[in-house]
Amino acid sequence: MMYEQWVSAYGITAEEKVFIFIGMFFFIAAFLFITFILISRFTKNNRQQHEVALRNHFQRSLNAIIIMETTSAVPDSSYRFKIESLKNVMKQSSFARQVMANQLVALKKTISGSSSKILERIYIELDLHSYSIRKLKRGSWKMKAQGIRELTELNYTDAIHSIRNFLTANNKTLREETFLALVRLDQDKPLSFLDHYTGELTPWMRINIHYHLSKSDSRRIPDFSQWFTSSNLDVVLFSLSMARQLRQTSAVTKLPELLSHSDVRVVALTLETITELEAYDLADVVAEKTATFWNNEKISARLVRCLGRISYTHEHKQAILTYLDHPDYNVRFYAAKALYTLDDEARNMLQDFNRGMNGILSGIINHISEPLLQ
Amino acid sequence: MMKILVCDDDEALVSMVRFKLSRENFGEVFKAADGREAKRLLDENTFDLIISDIHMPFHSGLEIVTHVRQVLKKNTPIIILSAEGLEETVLQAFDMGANDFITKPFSPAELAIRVKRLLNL
Amino acid sequence: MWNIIYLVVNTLILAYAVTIAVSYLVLAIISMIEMHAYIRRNYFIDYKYILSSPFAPGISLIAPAYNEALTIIDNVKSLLSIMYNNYEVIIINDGSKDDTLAKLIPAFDLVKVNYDLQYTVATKPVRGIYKSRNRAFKKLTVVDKENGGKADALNVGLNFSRKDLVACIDVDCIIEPDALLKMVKPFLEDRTVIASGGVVRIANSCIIEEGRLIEIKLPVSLLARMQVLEYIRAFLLGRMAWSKLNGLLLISGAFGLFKRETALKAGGYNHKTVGEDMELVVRMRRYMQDQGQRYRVAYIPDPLCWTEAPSSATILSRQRNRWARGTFETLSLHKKLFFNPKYGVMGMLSYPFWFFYEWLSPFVEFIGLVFFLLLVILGQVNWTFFISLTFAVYSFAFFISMFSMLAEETSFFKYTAKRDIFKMIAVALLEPIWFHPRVVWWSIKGNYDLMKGKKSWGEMTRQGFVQYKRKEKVA
Repeated sequence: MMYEQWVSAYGITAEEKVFIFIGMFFFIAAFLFITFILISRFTKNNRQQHEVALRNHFQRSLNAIIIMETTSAVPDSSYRFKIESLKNVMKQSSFARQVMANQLVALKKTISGSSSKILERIYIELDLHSYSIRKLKRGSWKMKAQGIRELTELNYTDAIHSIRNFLTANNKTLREETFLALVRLDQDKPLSFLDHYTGELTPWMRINIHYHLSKSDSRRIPDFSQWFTSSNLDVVLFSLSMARQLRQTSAVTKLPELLSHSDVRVVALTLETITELEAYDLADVVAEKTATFWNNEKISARLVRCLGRISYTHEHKQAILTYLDHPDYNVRFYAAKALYTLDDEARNMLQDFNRGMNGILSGIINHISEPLLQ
Repeated sequence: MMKILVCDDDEALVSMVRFKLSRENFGEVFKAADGREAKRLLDENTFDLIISDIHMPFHSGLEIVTHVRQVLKKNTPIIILSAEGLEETVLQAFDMGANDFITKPFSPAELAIRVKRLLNL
Repeated sequence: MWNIIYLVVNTLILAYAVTIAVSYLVLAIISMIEMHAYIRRNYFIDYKYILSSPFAPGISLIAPAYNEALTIIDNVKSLLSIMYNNYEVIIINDGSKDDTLAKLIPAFDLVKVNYDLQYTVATKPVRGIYKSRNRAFKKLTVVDKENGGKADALNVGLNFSRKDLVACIDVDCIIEPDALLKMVKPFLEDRTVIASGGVVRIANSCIIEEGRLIEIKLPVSLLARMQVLEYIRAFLLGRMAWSKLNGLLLISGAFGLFKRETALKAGGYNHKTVGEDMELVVRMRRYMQDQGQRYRVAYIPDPLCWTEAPSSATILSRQRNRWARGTFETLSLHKKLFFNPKYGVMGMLSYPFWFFYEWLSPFVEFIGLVFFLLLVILGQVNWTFFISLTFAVYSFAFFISMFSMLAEETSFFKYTAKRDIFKMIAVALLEPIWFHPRVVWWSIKGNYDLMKGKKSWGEMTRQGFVQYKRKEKVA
C-alpha cells in the first residue's frame, strides 16, 4: 500500500519501476552476499583455531607413541593408555576424526620404516579406516576420492576390492585417484590395469605413478617392455618413458622395432630410451636410420644425441658427421656436441670438418667447450 | 652438551625429529622454520650438527651448506633431508659439502643412527 | 526531432547497458562454478610430486630488467628460490641506464661466456651472456643487450631458452614459491595446452622481505585499494570463465607460462605494440587455429604473483593510458577475427566482447555522460528516470563487486582480517563514483594519444621507456 502511494505520488512510470526493482534486487543480493561472507569468516576462524589446537595435541601424542615404540621396550600399558585417550577425543566429532586422518596422512608422507608401520596401526586402532571406507559410499566424488586417498596413504590393502570399482568412474579425478591407489596397494601386479586400458594417460599420471613406484619396493616394479606393443598409444609412451627412467635394460631387445613405429613421438622416445640405457648394441641399428629421419629435425636431434652416447666405430661417427650440415641449427648443435664429447677421434673429425668449412661451426664449438655451460 | 640445528618448514616433521633426537640424548635441538632464521642462528651460534631441508623460504638448504662451508668456513656435519631425491640434486649437495643425504619419507630410527655416526657418539 | 534523437540514444545506451550487465553476470556465474570445480579437483594434489619428478618439463623464467638496480639482487634471489627443479632464470638487462648489470656481476660472481645465441626472432644485438662461477647459482643466466623495449627483451629470452616452456615475468613481481608447480599442471594434464596464465594480486602495503611475501595486507592507499577490488573482479570473475569457454585472450604480462615452440612459431612478441602480452596470446591462438590444431589456453585462479600497483594518480593514468593503447593496437592488428566463425570462440565471442565491452565501453560511457550534461543544460532531464536508472546501474556494480568478494572468500581467502571486509565494502560503494570515471577518462585519453601519436612520431621510438613500469613508485 505504502509503496503504491509513493509510486503514484512521485509519478513513477512502469519503466522506472523496473529500474527501481532491479536496483533493489541487486542491492539486497549484495547484502545477502555480505552476510554470507561474514558468517563464513566467523565459522572459518573458529574452525581454524579448533583445528590448530587439535593438531598440536595429536602431534604430541603421535610423537610420543612413535618414538617410544621404536626406541626401547616401553610397557604396553602406556601405549594402550595413549590410544584410549586419543579414541576419546575421536568420539567427540567427525571433525576431530578428519583432523587426525589428515595428520596421519601428512606424517606418513615424511616418515618411513618401522615408524611408518606404527602409523598404519594407529589408523586401524582408532577405527579411522572404517570412517574412510564409509566415505567410499558417499555420493560426492570428492568424498570418495578422499576416502581412497586416506586408505591408500595408510596402506590399508583390504580395501583394494572396494576401490577397484571406481576404475570406470565418470569423474576423471576419481578415476586417477583409483589408478594410483591400485599402483600402491596391489602387491602383485600394481600396473595390471594397463593391460586393457583404453583411456588417456597424461604426463601428470606419469609423474604420479613414477613417484609411487620409485618410493616402493623395487621387486614390485614390472617389466615395462610388456606394454610396448599395446594398441593404446598413451600406454606405449608411458611404458617407454618408465623403462627409460627406471633403466630397465631388459627392454633393450624390444627397442629396435619401435624405431619403425608409425607415431613419431614413440620413435623420439625410443631414441631417448636407447640413449639413457646406453644400449651400445643398438648403435648399428640407430646409425642405419639416419636417412629415414633426416627431414624430421626433432627426431634428427635426438638421433645424433643418441649416437653421441652409444657410438663406438668409425662408421657411427661418420654418421654423426653428416649431420653437421643439417639445415636445422639444433641438429647441427647436437651433432657437434656429440662428436665433441664422444672421444678424441670424433673431436678431431669435428675440428677437421670445421676447418674445411672455414670455421662455420666455431660458434657452436666455443659454446660446447665452455665449462660454465655444461 | 651437543647442539643440533633442524631446519625445515614442515612443523610436524621438526617436532618429530626434535622429539626423537632429544629422546636419544644426543643433545639440545634448535629449530629454524626457514632459511633466513637458519642463517641467523648459524651466524650467532656454533652447532655440532645441522639437519636441513632443501626447499625452504628465503634460502635453500644448498645455500645453507655453501654458507657454512664458504662463508663461515666451518666443517660442521650437515645432513640434507629432502623430499626430492633426484640424482642431480644429491650430487650437487655432496659436491657442495653436505655430509649425508636422506630422502623423505625417512625413518626416524635411521636418521638417529646417521646422526650418531656423524657426531662420533 | 529532439524526441527521436533522445529515444535513439537512450535505447542504444540502455541496450548496451543491459547486454553488458547480462554478459558480466553470465561470466561471473561461469567463473564461480569453474573456480570451485578447480579447487575441488586440486584438493588432493600433492604438487611436490612434480618437484621431485624427472618427468617435469623444463622451464625458463624470462625476466626483463630495465633500470632495476635498486631491487635487482633481491628479485633475482627470490626467483632462484622458486620451488621447481628443472628450471633456469634468465635475466635480460635491456640496456639499463643505471648500474643494474654492475650490481649483478659481483653479487652472483658472474663471468661472460661463449654462448652461441641464435636470433631466431630478430632482436636488438646482445652484448654479452653471463653465468655464475658459484654452483649454487647454476640456474642463473644474465643476458646483456641493447635497449629495445620489453617485447624485444622477452624475445631474446625466447631465443636463448632451450627448455620446453618459458615463463615470462616482470622482474619486480613477487612470485609465490609454488607458482611454477601450479602453473605447469595444466600442461601436464592436457597436451594441447599452449599457454597458462595466473592471477595477479596487489602487493602494496604487504610485508615483503628479501623478495618474499611475508604477510598479506590490504593497501593503505585508497587508489590501490580500488585496484585490489578491480583485480579480484577481473581475475576471479572474468578470466576464469573465459578459460572455461576456451576464449581467454589475455595472459597478464606479469606472469604467464608458454610453450616455447608455439610462441616462436607464432613469431614471438611483437615489439611494435605496448600491449605485447595480449597480442602474443592472440597471435599464438591464431597460429594454432590457422594450422587447424586443437589447443587450449589455461588459467590458474590461485594467487601466485603479487605486484606493486601505482598508488599515485599520475602513474596510474600512464598505466591505463598504455593499457588502452595496447588493447586498441591488438584489436586492430587482428581485426580479421571480428565475428569470424573460422576462429571459433575467439572470433565469435572473445574478440567481439573485447571490442564492445572493453575497448568501446569508455566511449559509450563518455558519450552517455556528455548526452546527459546536454540534457541538463537544455533542461530536458527526466529526473525520476535518471535517478532510478542510476540506482539500478550503481547497485548492479556494487553487486558484482560483492560477488567477486564472495568468490574470494569462498576460494583463496587472502585478506583475513575482519575489518578488511568492511573496508572493501566501502571501497565497492565508492568505486563507481570516485575511481571508475577516472579510469574511463584515462582510457579515452590513451586512445586519443594513439591516434595523435601515430601521426607525430613513428612506431619504434615509443618503446623502451614506456613499456616498463616507471620507478617513481619506489620512492
